[in-house]
Amino acid sequence: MFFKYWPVLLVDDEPDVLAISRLAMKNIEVYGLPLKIYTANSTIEAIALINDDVEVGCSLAVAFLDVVMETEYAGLELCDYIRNNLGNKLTQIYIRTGQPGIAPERDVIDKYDINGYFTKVEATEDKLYSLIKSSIRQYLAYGMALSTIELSNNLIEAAGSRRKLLYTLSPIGGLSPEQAETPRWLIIDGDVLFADEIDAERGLQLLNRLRALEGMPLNPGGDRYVMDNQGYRLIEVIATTAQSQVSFLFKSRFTPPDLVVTLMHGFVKQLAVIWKQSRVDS
Amino acid sequence: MRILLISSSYNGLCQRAHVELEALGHDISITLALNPDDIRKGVTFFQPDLIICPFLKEKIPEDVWSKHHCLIIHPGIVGDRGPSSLDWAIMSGEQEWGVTVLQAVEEMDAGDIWATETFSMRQASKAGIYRREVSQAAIKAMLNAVKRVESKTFKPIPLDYSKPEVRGQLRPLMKQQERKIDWENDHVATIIKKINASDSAPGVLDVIDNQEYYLYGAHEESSLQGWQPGAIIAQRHGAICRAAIDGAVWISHLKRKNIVKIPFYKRFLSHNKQFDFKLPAAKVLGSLLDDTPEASIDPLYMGAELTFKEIWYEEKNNVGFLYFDFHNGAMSTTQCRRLLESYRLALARPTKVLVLMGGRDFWSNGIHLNMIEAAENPANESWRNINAIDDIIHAILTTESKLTLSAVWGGCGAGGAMAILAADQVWAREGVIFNPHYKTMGLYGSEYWTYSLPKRVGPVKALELTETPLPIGTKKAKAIGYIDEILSDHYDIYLQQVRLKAEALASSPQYQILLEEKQQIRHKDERVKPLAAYRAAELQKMKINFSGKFYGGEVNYHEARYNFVHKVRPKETAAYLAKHMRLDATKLSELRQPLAY
Repeated sequence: MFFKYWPVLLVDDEPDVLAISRLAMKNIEVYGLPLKIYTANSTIEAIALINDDVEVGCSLAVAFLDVVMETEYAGLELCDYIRNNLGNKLTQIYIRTGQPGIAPERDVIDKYDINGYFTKVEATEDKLYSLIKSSIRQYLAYGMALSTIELSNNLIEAAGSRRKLLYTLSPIGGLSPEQAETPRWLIIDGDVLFADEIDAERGLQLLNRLRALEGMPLNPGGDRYVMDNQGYRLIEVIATTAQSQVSFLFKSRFTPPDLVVTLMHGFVKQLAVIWKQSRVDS
Repeated sequence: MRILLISSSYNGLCQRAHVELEALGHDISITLALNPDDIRKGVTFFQPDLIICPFLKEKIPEDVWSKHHCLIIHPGIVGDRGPSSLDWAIMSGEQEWGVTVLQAVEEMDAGDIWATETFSMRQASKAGIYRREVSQAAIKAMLNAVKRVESKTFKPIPLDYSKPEVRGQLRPLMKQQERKIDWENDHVATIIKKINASDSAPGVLDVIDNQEYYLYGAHEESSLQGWQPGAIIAQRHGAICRAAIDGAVWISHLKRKNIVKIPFYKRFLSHNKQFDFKLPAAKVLGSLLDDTPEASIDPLYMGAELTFKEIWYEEKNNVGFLYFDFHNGAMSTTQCRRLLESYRLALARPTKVLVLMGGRDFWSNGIHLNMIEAAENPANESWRNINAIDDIIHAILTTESKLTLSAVWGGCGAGGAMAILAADQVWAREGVIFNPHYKTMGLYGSEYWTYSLPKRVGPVKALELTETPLPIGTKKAKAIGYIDEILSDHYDIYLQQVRLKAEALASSPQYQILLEEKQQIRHKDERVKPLAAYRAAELQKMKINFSGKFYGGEVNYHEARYNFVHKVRPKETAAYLAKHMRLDATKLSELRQPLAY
């Protein structure tokens, strides 16, 4: 939810292919955000880049990999490295080959955990455009789903102790490098978590402003999703005897699709219930 | 007894006091001397029978020491008083120094004496002597004092300067004026003595290119020389070599003076980085060293000359000894890469056993937080550093050509405390303190710990060790299988034990069987779950620590690292140390349970 751009990796040993792809992708935007394109001429160079830059190592949205580079199967080895050595199951990997005879489509899709396969002849500008769009949508939805599951698991593990819950929640409400431009607040029963006085006051002012706006009901219980014209968004779960009032207030550079809002609402709702049932401890 | 430890920080000595007293069955709680009220709260809540202050820079409130039995551990011989004891001892070239356990009274360090121990001094930094000689003597004296308190018959001895055996005296705080290096007149030995007496705090203030810096990490150089005393004549692996009137001296670390400290959140959001913390000298001086030649050194250095070296190697009777002595045990990306190269070279040597000796003060403490903090992009540098350290551990874990041993003389923590487990056997000096956890730094941790730690101690203990960030001593470590052998606390005996035992292993008739067994186990483990999968899963968790995009970036690690590097004191004593502050819900629920016989 806090992306500034979508990181994309292109690996190909033909400089022309890299240059043309870069040009074709230059102006593509997905959810209103641009692409940030990383390139490498070989698998070795790509692995060096992965080990050097945490974004390429961990947060790639899409990767287009040539097959035949320094070896006949270098690109497939790179795919294996990303999936198994980095444990990255999220990046959308496409195999783009100029020599389909060496790595036939069926063999590759059977053996490797890839999201698509096409030949360089098929790689028209329109094809790249639609692949980028659809794969980033897939990446965002899948990533949000996995992150929500992970958060849920952490909440369940911390359930019972508010101290442990706070530790679990600190990545969300806490100060982070990106927060200057996309701030976020977690407000439970009127208390702003993790914020100093100034931030807390700002959060509460924003909360009141957004609450006054008309929002979209998320369920019959009164939970709402509200957005303003400055990019601020509020997901609010209403207090009952079984749950606390929890507001997740954040600024995002793009409008999240419905599925993402549903996932975030699910997390806020879980937090509301678990928080209520947990004890205050030091 | 109920013993409350009051300490300025939870440093190595306080950790060891904690571990040793707990092992004797005492009930221990700790409060950091953050302010007088914290101390009072600790005393009121815990109601201790005895208070011990292993490392205290602050004064204890009168209402505490006057009403409670309160002992101070002072790093000086009987009669020595003042805040710069060790500094003066090093500076004045004392041959023998000591530790005294005193009753707390109004006048600082002037109370009755409960116990004292002495030791021979050696040429080393103040921190080095503190970690080795002072810590050993302090623990011995403290345990002696506790025994005497328990006996209830011992009468502490009043400080009496008229007695001939009382050699110490009251000395003032050592100021920079006394530490200052006179490059035109000071010999190498004097320069080293001055830096040693001030290392790790406060450092010797000196001027380089019109800017004031504190100097740390002095090493003698036996071959390089320069004409202009004080001039920088060479650099090596981040250290600088400066000419002196009778030779040259290496200085490994610098800290810039006169930079205003800014709060974490402001610095976090600004891009203007100022290095106001200790870093390798070359990193601090930057372009000033553009024309300074690099004095290269063999990656598997086997020489005996005096010079600055972080990695060196010895070999005898089919056993290789690889030393890696990194400042404070922190291993940066480049240091890890150099160590990996040296490790591979050591593997190629015709030996049967390779002993990983670590350094004099620390075996390793994992990634280099100061270098990460100083990096342009700390998340990226963290990523590189953790990958580089993982590469070394992978090389050790997959070594099939010889048996590997970790011989741990200095302490180890975080990644370093997991790294020792990569070797086939782990031997440690009796007084070593291990901190096999990452939580205080807000990290999940890598270094293949999810493979090595449960394999040694089982999954339950592995979770216990990593979830509660407490130190463990060697007795417990051995009992749970974290280490294999406990060796002597005396350096020379320890070295001899390591040599003899390693040689015995190399010449053992069982050697070939042990090697084959090790290979079989590794192959079996690899079939069950490849090492790459362990690393991948750890790095996936670490990536959330470094930077996360879906629900937000992890801040715990970045904030904890900032506080660590800038020595920001915590606002309160952590709950896992301050037992008196815990809501003991577990005990209450235990009371409600039927007793199980």
